[in-house]
Amino acid sequence: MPARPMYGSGGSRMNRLARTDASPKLSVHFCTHCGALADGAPQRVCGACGLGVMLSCAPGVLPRAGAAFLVIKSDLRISAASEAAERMLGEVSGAPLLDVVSGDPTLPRWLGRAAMGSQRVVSVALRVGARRVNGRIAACGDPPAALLVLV
Amino acid sequence: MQAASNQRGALSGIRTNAAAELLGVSPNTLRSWERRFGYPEPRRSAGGHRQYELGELEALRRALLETHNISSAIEVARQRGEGPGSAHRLLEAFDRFDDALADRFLEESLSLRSIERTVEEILLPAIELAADREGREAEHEFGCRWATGWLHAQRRVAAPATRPEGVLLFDSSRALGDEVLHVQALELALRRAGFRVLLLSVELAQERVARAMRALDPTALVLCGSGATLDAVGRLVYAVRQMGSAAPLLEYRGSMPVTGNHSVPSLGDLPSDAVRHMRARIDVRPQARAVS
Repeated sequence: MPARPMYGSGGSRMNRLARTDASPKLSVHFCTHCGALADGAPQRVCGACGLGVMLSCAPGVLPRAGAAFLVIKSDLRISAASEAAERMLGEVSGAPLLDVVSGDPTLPRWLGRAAMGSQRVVSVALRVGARRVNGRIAACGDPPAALLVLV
Repeated sequence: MQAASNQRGALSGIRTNAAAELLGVSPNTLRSWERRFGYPEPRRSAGGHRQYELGELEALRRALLETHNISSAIEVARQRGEGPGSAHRLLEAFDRFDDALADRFLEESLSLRSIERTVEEILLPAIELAADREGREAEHEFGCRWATGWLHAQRRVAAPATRPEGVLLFDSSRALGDEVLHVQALELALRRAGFRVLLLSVELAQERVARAMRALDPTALVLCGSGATLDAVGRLVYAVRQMGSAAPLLEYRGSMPVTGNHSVPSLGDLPSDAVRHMRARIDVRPQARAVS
């Protein structure tokens, strides 16, 4: 199934040459380890588990606290995996993403765009081994990266 | 080493609460990192209180801003915390495209190490680290250009030759990168060892090599870089022998374009190896002549 944009700027891909204030703000903070959610401006390290860094993403990308997700850098390596994702995939931090999940051929393109700061949120169909999983791709940071939520 | 640890012991550390505040975590989190990752690793005061190193805390605070999880941040901080001017700290300057910071790291290193050790332990390893990363070509190129400038600056302030022997280096490196810097580092090391040194391209036309040979009257010819062809080396040796020079041809860092054994002696893989081998070859020759 091809990737499907959920929402975002839409229309022309080159309608803006620089990020402007009109871009959606990354306003939900989440812990890269336990997946705890926080509004406002929390400290850099998660106060709940002490084992994750607090990053931010657009509202509505993460379905709930403790969700399964991967943080992926622009070289398509997994930079961090939430506790729930590690239960599903094992220890995957540092591994190339495409060694861990497969499926949608457009996955690298969407992840690359998200890691470069694209505000578009995209749904993709993935395979983890023999298992089918839905994924949601969005930008997160700082430092900038792609967030792949396993729904 | 003993002196260093005594000095470390003499410095007052930062107590747990203050360290936790610096990092924006709770004291319990800091202690849990120590148990789980062994970092940051505090000393203990006479009263048994934890005392943290400011350098470790600062390295960790910066790493937390640059990574996505705690174990990566601790790994980065560990690598950067190797002491003044480590290769990883220089790599950090490359990643920030900050030449002033890179200059400062090497100045710090020069306060502890010789230029030769700084080149071999900091500069060249940092360039190799930068080259090994996918998608970081811009940082690598910045590092190479900065390192080229730094090596040139060191060459300009090197003392004049103190030995009569000349060394003619033939560089076969084709593009800006690690090999070019290794050749420049070799040139600098030989100059600082007192040799007269000339660095030319291996592809030079025969008549230009002849003029350089007359000017330098080299005691040794060294093939450097990894881009030489057998044809180019053959032409070079022919041109040199046509001029009546018996200067031996040596190679540096496996630059002879052949696989397997060959008869061209090697100067090793590092500038300091090359200087040692060169001195050994040249200083032994007069004795050999006297014996014969």
